[in-house]
Amino acid sequence: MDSPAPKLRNFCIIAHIDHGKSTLADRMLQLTGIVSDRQMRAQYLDRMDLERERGITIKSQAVRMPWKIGEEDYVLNMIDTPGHVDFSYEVSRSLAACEGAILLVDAAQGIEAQTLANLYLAMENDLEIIPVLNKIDLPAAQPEKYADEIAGLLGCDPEDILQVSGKTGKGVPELLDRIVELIPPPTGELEAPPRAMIFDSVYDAYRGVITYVRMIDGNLSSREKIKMMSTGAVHELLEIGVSAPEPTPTKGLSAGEVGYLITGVKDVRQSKVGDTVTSKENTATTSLKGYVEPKPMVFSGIYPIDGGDYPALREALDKLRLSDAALVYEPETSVALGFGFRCGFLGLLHLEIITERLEREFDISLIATSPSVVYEVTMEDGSEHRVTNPSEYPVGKIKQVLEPVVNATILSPKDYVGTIIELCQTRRGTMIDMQYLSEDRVQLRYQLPLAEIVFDFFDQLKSKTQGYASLDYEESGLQASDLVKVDLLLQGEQVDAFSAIVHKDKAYAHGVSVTGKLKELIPRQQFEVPIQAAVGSRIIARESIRAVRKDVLAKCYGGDITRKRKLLEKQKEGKRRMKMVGRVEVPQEAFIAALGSDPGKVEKKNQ
Amino acid sequence: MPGVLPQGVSWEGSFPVSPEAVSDKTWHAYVHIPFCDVRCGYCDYNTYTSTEVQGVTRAEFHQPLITEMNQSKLVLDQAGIQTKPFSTVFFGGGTPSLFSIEQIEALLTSLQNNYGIKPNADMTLEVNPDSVDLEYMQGLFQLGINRVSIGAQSFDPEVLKVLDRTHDTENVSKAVSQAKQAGLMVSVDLIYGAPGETLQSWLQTVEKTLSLEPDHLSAYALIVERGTKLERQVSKGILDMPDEDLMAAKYELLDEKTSQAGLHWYELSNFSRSDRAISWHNRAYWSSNYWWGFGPGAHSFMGDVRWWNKKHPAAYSKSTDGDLPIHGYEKITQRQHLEERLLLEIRIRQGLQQSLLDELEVKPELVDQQLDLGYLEKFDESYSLTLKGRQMADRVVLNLLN
Repeated sequence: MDSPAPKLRNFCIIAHIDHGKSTLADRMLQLTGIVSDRQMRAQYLDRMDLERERGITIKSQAVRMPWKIGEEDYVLNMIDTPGHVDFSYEVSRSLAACEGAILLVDAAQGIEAQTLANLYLAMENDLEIIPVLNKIDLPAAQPEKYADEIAGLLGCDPEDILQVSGKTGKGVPELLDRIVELIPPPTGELEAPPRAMIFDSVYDAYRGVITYVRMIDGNLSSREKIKMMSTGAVHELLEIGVSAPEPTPTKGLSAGEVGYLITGVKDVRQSKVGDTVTSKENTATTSLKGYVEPKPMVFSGIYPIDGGDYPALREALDKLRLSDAALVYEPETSVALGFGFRCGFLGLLHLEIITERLEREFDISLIATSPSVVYEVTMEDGSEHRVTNPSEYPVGKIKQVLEPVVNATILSPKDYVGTIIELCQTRRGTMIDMQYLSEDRVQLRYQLPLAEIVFDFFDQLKSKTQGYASLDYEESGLQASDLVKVDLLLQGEQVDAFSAIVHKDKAYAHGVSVTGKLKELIPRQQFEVPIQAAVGSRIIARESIRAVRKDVLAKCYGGDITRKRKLLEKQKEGKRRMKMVGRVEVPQEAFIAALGSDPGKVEKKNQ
Repeated sequence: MPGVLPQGVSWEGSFPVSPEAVSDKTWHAYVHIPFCDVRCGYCDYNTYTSTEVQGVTRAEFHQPLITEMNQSKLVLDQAGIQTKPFSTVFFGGGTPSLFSIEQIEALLTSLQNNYGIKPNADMTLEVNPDSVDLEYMQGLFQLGINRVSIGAQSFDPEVLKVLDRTHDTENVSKAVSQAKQAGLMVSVDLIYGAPGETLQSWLQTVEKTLSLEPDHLSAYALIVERGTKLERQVSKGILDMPDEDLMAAKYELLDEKTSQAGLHWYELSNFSRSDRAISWHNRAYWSSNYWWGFGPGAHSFMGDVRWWNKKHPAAYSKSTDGDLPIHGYEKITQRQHLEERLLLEIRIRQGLQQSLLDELEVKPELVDQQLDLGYLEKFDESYSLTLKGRQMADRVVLNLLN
């Protein structure tokens, strides 16, 4: 079949965080002349401050670059892919928009688990892979060693692996040549009714939603009405164009091309990644394959520290949802934390990005409860419950509990295999297989409950392997497990924020740990406060906070009165901020600290 | 009085108390002598250890105090406030016993001339056991001083070392008997809860003190104040922070031993053998009567205003020339005044009157809660702290206000 656009090459870069993808992209922009040296700023394509700061790319984008080989002019579309496991669906859509992928590996670190996962995804999509070792300017670079490793994975000759430096630009022109040579031009039918796949959808405060598409068949022109195939919704096309790299309007886009659409829609959920765009007049009959609704995997209760911020939090979430189709939330009330929202996320990084954006962009101080996964509970009487909040775990005779499991891939130097196996076993993992990628690097594959991963697994993995191991996982269905809900009681009153669903064998250890932690964090009261962990009505762990015996300043004379009254005023203010659990006063800080082995924070080390 | 002055409105010359705000309460005089031979490690009071501070000498320091006394009378007269003779006079410090009998006399004369002092006024002077003898005690008695407060702190040499006290414990016994011989009532000041002090050590200190048969005893749980040497030692880990539970045990022991010896609590840190031996001066603070604090850093209270003097003796001395040496003041709102009354009156044996709780709109269930928990006990129209409650007074106040 002839290509509708023989001079076009659509490609993406698969790389681990920190392996230099954005820097390489910067060099390409400069070499192809579309961003002048003067305009260049580091990591040009990473838009959000947060992205730039964390050195990660959350949202993929596309850039159109001209490149000449001999007398022939080519157009290269580079589609930037997100690099984190939470966004694997977006990665898969980005890959589906390309014919080829650059596999970019740090010549000093070798391939990482997430890169490997994305590489397999690209191979499944029949993409042409161009392996590249980056950062060869580094003194610690070992290009030969890692070339062997990659060659082993791809079945290619180590000699064929390009060596580049995104920093100095060495090897980058050769890479651009190779993209033209090796990556096939797009396929698709120019004469068919238009079909475009949405691979990204970004909310812009001024322009509304900007939808990035890859035209598969036919063409869309700037004057027609478009139709979303999943919903049938029709939109006026306000602008159509390409990123070069700033948005540049064109008359239309045709099969094989990559560009953007602006329709005036204000909410990314009306323009979902993976959906097919067609024309209202010349409607395609079947949509493109692979569309999936984003499904939240991890839930957490998000509460404002200051209850007065609740309306502001609602407004902020409403705003964030405009740019994030995967974010879901509904109001929730907690005895301990007041009014907040139960929010669903794609994963831990997604959770952390959202809470950080809420705090930073909207200036709301938050407390987030421990992340929970979704449990499907079937009762003896046949009724079924979907539990996203442990405190809503049903009471009564339970027939079966299903929990989500994932297939995890861990890459590590071979010296740590023992510790990793041990860690995975304590986390209820089942080994799928283990194989050597090279002489000293091992790939372990495990099936693990997602709940075990969201609870500081990554942190443990990193600390037990001195940071060398990398992790990737993909959902792999549900499994029945022997799970129980552990409640926490303060002076007999249940504290909902601390309810947790854990495996039966771990309930006791969990109870001891939480009661012990709270004993340290809750100040002594005027009376003794028992702290209990319970499964149903059975107490499995108990601590006790003794009554305070002394709270008085011994001296109070003329010169002390003003100071003492001011202290009282401050204490009154502090007491107002206390959360009451029955008669027990708990400072909000204690809840924050107790909830704060915040597994979300752990992921930071991932960047 | 503690080291750091409060934040308030800065003083701009005009006296902020109006005659209408001044009610019919008793008047009391505090005189601050800001000199010591040695600064104790726990002390954050306004005191100086040299005999001369920036041109201000200890030997002449009664002069600026007298200037303030004269000036205060003038200002009150100008403001149209009817003055009253003082019901009590208290010389505190610092170490007031570093002043000569002549200096004390000059100060009392000035108070007498400007305001008058009531007959049978409680007139107290704080004494360092190292710096007194029988002659000095007799001299005080002749001036009309009827009570000395002797800073013993502890009878355990190890504890005294931690507190940086230099005196010989023998001197305490000597000072007590000299004071008695001179006809003075004796109060002994103790501090408990110093790092390293055991319950046994404290028991011995209490027993030794009671064997001296003082008329009055003040016992303060040690407070690690900011900016003191003690605080630095604690934060560096050289000394352990006093344990609060042990402090509470010591207090209970103290209460038991003093009761047996015939000294009874009338304020949570103060025990007296008789009504007469009570520190009526301090009692005035807890009853929100009016007092004028003369001297650097001293606080005063009158009408709806509390003010405080400049802290440094040199700055203080300079500004007495033609004006009051006041640094700042605060106007106390009606609500603030009620809350101050609550936190002060709860400390004394007579306790909280129902009328005060009503004015503060304290919810009855909050009072009941404190009764149920055993921190308060109810008398006809008042509530007093129990033994357990005395150690928790500040928490009780907070929980009554909710």
